[in-house]
Amino acid sequence: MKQVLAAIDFSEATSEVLRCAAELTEAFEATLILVHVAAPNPEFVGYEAGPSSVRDSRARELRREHRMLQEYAEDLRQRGIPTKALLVQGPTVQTLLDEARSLRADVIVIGSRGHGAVRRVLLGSVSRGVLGGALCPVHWVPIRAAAPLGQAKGVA
Amino acid sequence: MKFDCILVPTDFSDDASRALETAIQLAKLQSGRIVLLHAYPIDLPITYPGFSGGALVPDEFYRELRTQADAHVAQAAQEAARSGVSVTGKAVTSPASAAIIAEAEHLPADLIVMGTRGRTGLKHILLGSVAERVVREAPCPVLTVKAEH
Repeated sequence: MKQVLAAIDFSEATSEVLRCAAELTEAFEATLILVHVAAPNPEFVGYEAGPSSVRDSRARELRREHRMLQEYAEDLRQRGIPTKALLVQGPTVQTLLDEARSLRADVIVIGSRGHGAVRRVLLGSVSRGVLGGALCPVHWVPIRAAAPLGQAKGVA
Repeated sequence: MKFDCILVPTDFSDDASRALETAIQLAKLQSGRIVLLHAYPIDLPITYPGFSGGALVPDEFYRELRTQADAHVAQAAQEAARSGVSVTGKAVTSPASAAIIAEAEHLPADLIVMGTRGRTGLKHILLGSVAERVVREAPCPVLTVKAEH
């Protein structure tokens, strides 16, 4: 095992995914690659608030995510774990799987809860997409979500 | 990260074999042990005592199924143990995902390694329905693997 890819979405899953991915990377003396898939830019931003302000806020968000990702990577490097960070834009599942393939990841580390803003719908589709589509092994980290049990059940 | 006890559910499919190989590598690295679990649900029409239909499935049939499943998983465990890793086999009659989660809790397992696709080969309908449930509900991390096609 040479390359561990950690899927980072800045949700409540992230700290657990980072911890698990770091441990795996250390155990296998591998390299850790943090990948965050940002949502694609909206093609039509509408007239209401003024398209340029929407684009500006999107750009700010991307810069913020990029900075956070770099901070995580720097933190891990400080601990002696060789880490790279990558922010890519596109449809979540396909982009993640494409990156895993082109980076020749040996394993994808991902949280089994907490992906996507609209839990009930998106959480399931990302998990299912990665589960069915990944060519390399996928290490699912159970996320004890802060959400009530009843809500967390039956959504992944 | 310590994987002392690795649970590997098997239905003897290609993906399950691949999962077992991966688990063996991990166990070797950390001198862990493997528990090979074969869950076989008995999908027979429900029969009620007192109805004549009940007599269609004699106890003998269930005993025969159990003996076969036990033998099958014991043999697979024995073969896997040739790698030098401690492997024990266990067969249970219950729906796969529930059995896997219950066993992971019972052991307790540090990791579950399983294939994404089982023998129910209706790819698009049943794709990883067992794996999906286990990933969602397992008490420990789950490593899903796919056989190379």
